[in-house]
Amino acid sequence: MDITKSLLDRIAKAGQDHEHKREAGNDAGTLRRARNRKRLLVVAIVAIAIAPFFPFVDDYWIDIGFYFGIYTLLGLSLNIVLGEVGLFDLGHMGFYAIGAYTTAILNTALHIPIMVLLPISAVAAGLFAWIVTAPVIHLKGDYLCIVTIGIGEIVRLTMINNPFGLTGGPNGINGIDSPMIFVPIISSRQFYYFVWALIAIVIFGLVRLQRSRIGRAWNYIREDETAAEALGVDVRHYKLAAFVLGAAIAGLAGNIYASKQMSISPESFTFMESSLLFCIVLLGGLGSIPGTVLGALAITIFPEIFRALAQYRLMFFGLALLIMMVFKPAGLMPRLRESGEELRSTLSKRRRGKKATLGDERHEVPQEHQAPSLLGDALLELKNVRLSFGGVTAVAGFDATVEAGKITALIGPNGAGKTTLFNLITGIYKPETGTILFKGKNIAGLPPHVIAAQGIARTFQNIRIFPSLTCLENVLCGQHCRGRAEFTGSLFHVPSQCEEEKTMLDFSLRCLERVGLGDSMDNLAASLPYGKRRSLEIARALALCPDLLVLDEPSSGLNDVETEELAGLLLSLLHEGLSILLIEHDMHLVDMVSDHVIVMQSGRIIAEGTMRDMRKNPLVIEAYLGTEED
Amino acid sequence: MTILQEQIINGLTIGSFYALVALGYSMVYGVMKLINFAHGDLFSLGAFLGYTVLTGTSGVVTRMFGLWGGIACTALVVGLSVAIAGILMERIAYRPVYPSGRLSLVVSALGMSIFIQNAIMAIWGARPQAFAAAVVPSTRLTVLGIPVTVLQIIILAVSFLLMAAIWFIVEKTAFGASIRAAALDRETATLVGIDVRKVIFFVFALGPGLGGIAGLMNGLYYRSITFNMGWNYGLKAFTATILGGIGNIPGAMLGGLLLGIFESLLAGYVSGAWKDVFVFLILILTLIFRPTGILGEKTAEKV
Repeated sequence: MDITKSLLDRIAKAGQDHEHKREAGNDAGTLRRARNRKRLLVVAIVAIAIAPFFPFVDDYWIDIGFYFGIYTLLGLSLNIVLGEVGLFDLGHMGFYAIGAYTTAILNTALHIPIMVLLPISAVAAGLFAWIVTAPVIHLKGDYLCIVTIGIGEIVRLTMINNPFGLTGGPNGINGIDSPMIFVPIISSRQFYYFVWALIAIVIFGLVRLQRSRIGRAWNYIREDETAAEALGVDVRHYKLAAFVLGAAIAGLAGNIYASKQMSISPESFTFMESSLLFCIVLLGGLGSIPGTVLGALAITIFPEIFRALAQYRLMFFGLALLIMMVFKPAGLMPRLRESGEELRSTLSKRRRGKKATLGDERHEVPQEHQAPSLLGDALLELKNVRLSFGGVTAVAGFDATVEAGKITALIGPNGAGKTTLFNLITGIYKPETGTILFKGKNIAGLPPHVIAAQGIARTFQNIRIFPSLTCLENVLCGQHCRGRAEFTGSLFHVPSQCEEEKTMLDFSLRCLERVGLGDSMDNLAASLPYGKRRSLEIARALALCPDLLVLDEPSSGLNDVETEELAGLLLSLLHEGLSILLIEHDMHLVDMVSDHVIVMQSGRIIAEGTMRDMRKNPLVIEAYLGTEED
Repeated sequence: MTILQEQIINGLTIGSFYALVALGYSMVYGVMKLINFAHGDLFSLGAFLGYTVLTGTSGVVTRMFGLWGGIACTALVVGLSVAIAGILMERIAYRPVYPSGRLSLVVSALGMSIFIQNAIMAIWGARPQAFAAAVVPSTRLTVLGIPVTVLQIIILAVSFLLMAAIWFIVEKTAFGASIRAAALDRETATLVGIDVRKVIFFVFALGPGLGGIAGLMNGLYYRSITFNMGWNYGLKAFTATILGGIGNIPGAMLGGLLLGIFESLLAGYVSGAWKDVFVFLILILTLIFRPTGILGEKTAEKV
């Protein structure tokens, strides 16, 4: 028993150790690993290209290579939803089934050629995904997971029940044609090359998306949905886009599968298969394209290698999954983040002459959103804003004005409703009554990302950075809503998109330099010490080019030197014309920087004016500041 | 009229299986925030262990303890063994993976599910097994004009007793309070001195134990069992959990019973083939319109 116990403890410890190692951040090893991966890529491409010509590879093994390809395609499609955006999708086979059945039904009934049906199946699966996920996309984590299981099962059961005689019931549909690309695709070898050529195209597109503002937006959502939304990312839009794209790629796979098999039946689209896909992505590493390919390889090859185990092989497969999660929870090939230089060089590759390095060119950031606001104008006006949670009134009829070109401090005891007020201003909560005018427009009740785009950027009391992205990528989040590039621009590297991306990179780097983090741009945010994380959050907010910077306890947890630096930074930002609203408990800092102080208690203003006035105000002293003798 | 009543009785019986399995899901989810995908397979394990004890020993147990005594003994053995399996599962598959995050836990749970399902297949075979007629009570009764079997009455009685016991433990005892505290906030619970490991041990013993007994009763009720039946029951039971409000004990019971009746009525009056589609639709609609379930409470995320 003791031996078992110590073994179990060791397993637990191994899991934790790994976790620590993963958090250690970026180092020289990352660069080396990136180079190794390039070599590996070449080897993999050559191996896949010549594999069918090895003497011992017969049609049986070529077919396995084909199914490896199908699982790769499916894994890549799920990787968008699960890996990039972090949405638990355990019904992905449903989208694959829609693609396969679209092909099968239209081909057998109307004799539409398979190659014409290839895009049609993708569109059908994507459209289906949009229809079924749009009403549920707001659900979090496990709830969404359960819904996707439900969707997958509904699709499968519907196919079994043969509605309108379309799906052929449990036996499915037979007699599906072969695809025709100049010549008919019939042999195992032809199908093998067909599927892998398609994978190459898909991977090419996915890599470009990963390195675009769309791919980053997906990752922001995965890392911290609330922060992403508050910094201007339209979370709902990008989640839906991920589902639609993922489903469309699964639909492609469905088309190829149907034409290769020439028949399909509901039993190919079970929950078990969906969970296998889930495992492919997790085995490979979340968001990692080479990892997904490797995961697919593991899943297809495992049953073949362990044929001797016959009926026990799935049992061992289950065990293998478990062991993997204990010892390599980050996956076989975790996603490596690109450095700023890499992001930059992908964009400049096709340009003649010298390669510009990051930060060389100083692009002017278009700031058409900034209406000129004069010193002393009311930038933000709150009128009778009210919000209560159950019976507790957190903000009770709040009236206040934040003037442009000034630093306004909001102080008050814990539980006064300060952070709630911030959440109302930034749209995370909707006020029950009242108006919030920003630059003269009512923003009360607008979604956070819209408010952010109008020019309010915030930081959070309990730091919300994106831990597994680099510092530069973190800051790029602020620039997200200033960009316009969508899917086509990012996929085809349209010149305007490249320019925009470069501008975003340069500007973000400047924001990082601004807070003294220029040297850490390629480090993972998780590797930063506490104080620097706060700076990173401020840089991220600055990258939004806001009119109003809203800081929630920026000095909390900072030492005296860091607080001094923070004060300096805030004052210099003020001189550049930025208006700042901050919650603060450090009265020294408030004294140093603030032009105007608002004191809040129990959801109301009890006093406002300069800090000097507040120190004399008996109400404020009683509620918050206390007396010297205390 | 009798069809309606029969369907309701039948639905209540199935619903009580769902409810017992749902209790396990709900408790584990509360404390671990993990959908224990292997829970349904523990239900099958219970059915197969029961099969072996009752039928595999060519009726020795029944001859020794009588028909009902034999079943009671079997239930005890099954409950204990599946509880041990649950504890082992937590030790091997979940505790070491817990620090790596939710996604790894999901994969671990899926791996465990695949493992148990295939282990059952490896031991008992891929074909359905049947409980021998001799070990299953078949007495029929007419209560208030409704034809029922004694087995149905016993199943319902046992289920309600077990549910009441769980409800009492979780809602009325000091230890139950620590389970609820751990479910609300694991870290804070640890800080105020609650031994969360003990709570986890308890829910992983009790949940699977109940699931195992439900599996046995299911086997007695339908007599035929297959190695992969747990997945379907697991999914239905999880739907019941959501329906009633996840993490909520009375909710899990209510959800299970409602789902059972609903399913049974659908099968009887609408279409047996489409009933599962409706069940999943209900699941999705619940999550859209009342994500907290019937009895669940709203929790706000702190920003």
